[in-house]
Amino acid sequence: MQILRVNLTTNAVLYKDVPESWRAYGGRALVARFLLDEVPPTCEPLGPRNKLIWAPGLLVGHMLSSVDRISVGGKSPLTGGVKEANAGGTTGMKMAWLGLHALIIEGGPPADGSWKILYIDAEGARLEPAGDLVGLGLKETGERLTERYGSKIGISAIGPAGERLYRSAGVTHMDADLNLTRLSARGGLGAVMGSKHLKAIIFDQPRANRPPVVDEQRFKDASRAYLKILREHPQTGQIYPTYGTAGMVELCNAVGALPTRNFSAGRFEAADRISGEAIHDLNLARGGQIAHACMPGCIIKCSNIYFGPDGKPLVTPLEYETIGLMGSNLGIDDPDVIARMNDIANDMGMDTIDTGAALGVAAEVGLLAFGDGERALVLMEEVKTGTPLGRILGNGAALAGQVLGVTRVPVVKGQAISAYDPRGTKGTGVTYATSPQGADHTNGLTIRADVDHTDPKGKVELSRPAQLNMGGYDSLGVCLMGTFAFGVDPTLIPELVNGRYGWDMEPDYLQQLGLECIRMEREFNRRAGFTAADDRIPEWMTVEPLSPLNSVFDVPDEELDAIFDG
Amino acid sequence: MDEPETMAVTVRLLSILRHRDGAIVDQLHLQLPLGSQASDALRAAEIPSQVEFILTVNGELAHEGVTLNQGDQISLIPIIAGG
Ligand code: SF4
Repeated sequence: MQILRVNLTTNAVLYKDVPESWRAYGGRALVARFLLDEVPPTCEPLGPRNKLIWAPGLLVGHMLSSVDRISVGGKSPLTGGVKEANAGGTTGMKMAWLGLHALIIEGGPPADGSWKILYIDAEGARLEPAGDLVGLGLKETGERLTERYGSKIGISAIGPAGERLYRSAGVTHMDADLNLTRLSARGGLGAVMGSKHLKAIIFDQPRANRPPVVDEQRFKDASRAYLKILREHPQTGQIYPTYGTAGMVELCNAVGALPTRNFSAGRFEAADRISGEAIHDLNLARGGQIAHACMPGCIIKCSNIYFGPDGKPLVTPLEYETIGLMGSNLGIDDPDVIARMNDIANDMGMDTIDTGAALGVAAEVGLLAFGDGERALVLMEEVKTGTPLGRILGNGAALAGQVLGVTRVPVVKGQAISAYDPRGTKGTGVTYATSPQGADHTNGLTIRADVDHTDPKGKVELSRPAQLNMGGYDSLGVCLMGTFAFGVDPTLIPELVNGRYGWDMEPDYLQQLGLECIRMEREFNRRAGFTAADDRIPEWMTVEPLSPLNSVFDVPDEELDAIFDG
Repeated sequence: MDEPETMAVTVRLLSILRHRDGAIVDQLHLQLPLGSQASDALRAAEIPSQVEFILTVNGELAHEGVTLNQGDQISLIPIIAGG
């Protein structure tokens, strides 16, 4: 495996062996190691000293169900700290098949101000002019790139949001059906790519070229056992393929943590109109698709293709986070409106969580009435065309709050809280507060635990292992939906890793990897100027009770500060 | 007039619990003896044991040992790990 470096200022393309100190890391942990080794922590995130890295997880490349995720990383222009954003699609798999342990993008923009495409195949890599792709939405970008390079490629690209340096811009990857819609969404990494004038990366490797496996039998046995759990358990075998992540709407609403009207309530009276069940029924009645896989080999298939009233595809995928932030959080109960907003965000290449949260903040000052879907769509059109207001909203909830004079802003480290209110699920609140990434449910969600979610006691102890596990999974390329099966049989992860690399990792490998990853991330943030004061839930959530549970976020600061000790 | 000996309870089925014998069933209307608990309703509704779920009664989180009243609505919401 190799590291490919491409410099947008000098056009230099360089392949090197993986340094010894990077070999034990992939995905999120490699992002952290790379940032510590190569990126000045105080650099301007949108300047030439910041770098971007694409790092497949350590287990990527084998088409093992839901274990082919790609991590993109760099210093975040949204949080000012460490950022890793992972996604499905085919990028991770194609990179592994190209023999790449990581791809690093440096320098930029080109001296002449031009925009580039990076083309990579088995023979090498080269920068090409992006030409007329600049300014195009991701749908058209994907169509033109597959016309030009064929349909067997992988793509990572940015849309207009990234080109305009919106801090909620992500990096979008192509899915198994050539839709350019799988987003490394969080933290504004699309803006970093835009700052370097890199529009797209083509990974041209049609041939399955699995990375070497040292102990095939061991790897095969563990893979089989993993697939068996996925198939047999109702959650991965039935619920996700049928309802996708939208199955969370009713659950989170019942718990009392579904963001409603800019996080002013935890239950939405119309949750049943935007629930997984409602969307499933509507979508199937229109001929839409459920059980859609974002990457080849995935048997969980949590994705969907949501069809509009005209019986044609409207958006893929329509997911829980979007439903929470662009639906209940805005008081919107019409799945079609949510889907149209989602479609605009997808085409722009931007995070629906931060964008939905920004719209919620805008509603606080009357720019939108909660429940007014048509007005929300008008605001999304402004984001799309780039009016001054649209640019404010496109830069996320934190900036929108500052400009609009709103203090009820749901962010941690400048990044919007996802669709679990931290007052209604305090373990997840601890994760939001203390994750080096900023508020992000994927860094350690606790809603599944059988506990009183409003009791502050024991929530640090609940969040810590969840965060360590996710630090490990995100470094291996495992999808959040697949982590469930590995939880059922914790011996499988060490078995897979030992089989793949010939290592001799102990049963606690996953947690140890996660801890190392988070320690490196915290160190980068410390060097960037972060302190304990950044590890806090917004102050207003500690004094404003969440209805109807009447709960404030009250996990003690000292407990938050000690979470990664020991 | 004699007191009725049974009460009407509605069970709202969500996610995969709605899929029963090839059809979608969103609600079951049960007649249960007075004093029944939520666990009795689950038994009467033949809820498969391998599905983990949370239970609400009239929208509030509850447990299987809760005693039901006439007209209660129980919701059974299968648990998933994340989304
Ligand atoms: S479970 Fe869903 S997100 Fe995960 S790999 Fe499969 S389709 Fe993609």
